Amino acid sequence: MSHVTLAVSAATFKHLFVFLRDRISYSKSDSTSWGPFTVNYSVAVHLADGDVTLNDDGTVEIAGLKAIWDSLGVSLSFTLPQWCVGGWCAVPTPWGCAVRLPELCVGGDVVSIHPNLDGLESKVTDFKADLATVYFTDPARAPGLTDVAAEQAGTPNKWQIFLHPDRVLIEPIDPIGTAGNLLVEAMNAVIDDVLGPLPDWAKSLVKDIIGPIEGFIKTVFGIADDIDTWFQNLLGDLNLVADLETAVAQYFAQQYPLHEFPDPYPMLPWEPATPLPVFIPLRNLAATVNSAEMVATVDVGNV
Amino acid sequence: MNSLLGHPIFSLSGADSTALTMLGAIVHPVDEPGVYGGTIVAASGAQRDFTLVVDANDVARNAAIDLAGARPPGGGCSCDASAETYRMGPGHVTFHVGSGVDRYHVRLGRRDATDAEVFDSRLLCDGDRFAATLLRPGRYRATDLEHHHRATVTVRRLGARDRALLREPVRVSLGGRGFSKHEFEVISLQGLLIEIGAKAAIRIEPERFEDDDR
Repeated sequence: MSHVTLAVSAATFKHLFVFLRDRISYSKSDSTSWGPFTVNYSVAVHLADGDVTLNDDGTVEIAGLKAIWDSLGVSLSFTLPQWCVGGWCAVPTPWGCAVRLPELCVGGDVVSIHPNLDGLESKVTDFKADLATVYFTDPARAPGLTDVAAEQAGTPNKWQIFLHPDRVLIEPIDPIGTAGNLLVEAMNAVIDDVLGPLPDWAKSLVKDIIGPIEGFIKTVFGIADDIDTWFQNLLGDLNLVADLETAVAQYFAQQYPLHEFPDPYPMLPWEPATPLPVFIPLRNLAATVNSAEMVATVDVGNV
Repeated sequence: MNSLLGHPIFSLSGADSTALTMLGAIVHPVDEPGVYGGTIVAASGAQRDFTLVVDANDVARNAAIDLAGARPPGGGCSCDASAETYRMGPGHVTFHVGSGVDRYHVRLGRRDATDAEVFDSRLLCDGDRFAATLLRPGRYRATDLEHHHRATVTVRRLGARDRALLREPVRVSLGGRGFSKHEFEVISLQGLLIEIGAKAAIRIEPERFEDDDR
């Protein structure tokens, strides 16, 4: 039988979860080439909401948790097609063209479009965890340091209780129904930007050459089907959601504990007025939950 | 660099056979074998010479000469690296402007005992062709400065179904009695080819742009 049993109410446990949830900050940026175009992305995510349920089987479930994409900067760089003046036959003959005019081509600018995806939400559709205890030896602790000195130096060993997710599933980034519009808006914006210094008639001419913007987007990016599906597949291929799932799981399971106890535990910490501190070694920390509370048990002394 | 940004083609409007720009080109027949000396004169004052060798045994039937100075990458002629020399068989030489906003004319003469001038692009002659590309939609006036013949050219905005039409120029002839049509229409970007049947100098200049109406 354990020497000490600690209990934390479900309500307090929820506060612990919220405290951790609000400290998650995930960001990542990278670029990758996709043949005729290049994708650069930069994302930043935080978590919001989430109802905590403690189960009698020792598991913790979080429902309604959301990943908020504070910034989801995706830019697609590509080369604007050239259009040419001339190239047609000036002197046709029955045997073919005797003189073809030289072509004068304009275009070929490399441009980037930046569809605005900021503020999208992805539901965390499955978050189920149990509790795991870990003994942590601070790597910053100097060798040979006594427990009292380590406590004073802020580098004591610790017992930690982590929320250890069995699985974290986040729904795909879903701009369905708007993805195509986002790309069209972004393409229109970049074309207006590129053509900005040109006179209005020249802008109209280049837009006439480009033709309907949806068709132009399909041509530039080699899209065979609809733009919505293509863009969602592209976001999926960037593994943004999979990376976020891993990051969230690692955050809870390895980086930030729900709670931690220094070991040995300073029952009577050292102070100038307390020249004889009392430290109790903790052993065999275990933690679980039931529907009412979190329960942690620990042995005291060199058991 | 052919970047859309600041491309000089957008600063041009109209076309003039006496002062060639990127929107105009002249195709001139040269049937007599021989060595020809040419002089390219820019409105800015720059001038340069070239040699055109027409060799009956040369299989190439045309040469393209960029009046703005860029040498063609092979193809219809061969160019001497040290001197600007173009070689071809009896056929046609094309004078065009590949870059910039300058305006050019060119003179061509025999380089033999006669030293006779055989061509001055400011005065087109029978068998020449003047190729123009008009970009900005609107109404233009085409004038034969030599005989004061006129025609109206309407440049229509490029439509979604017009792309196939761009492959072929609108062909018009100009002889001693004037243009073969008094009014004709081209699509923005579409070529306009005027086949010359008598001495002529052609200027196509805007009368009213479509966007002036807005």
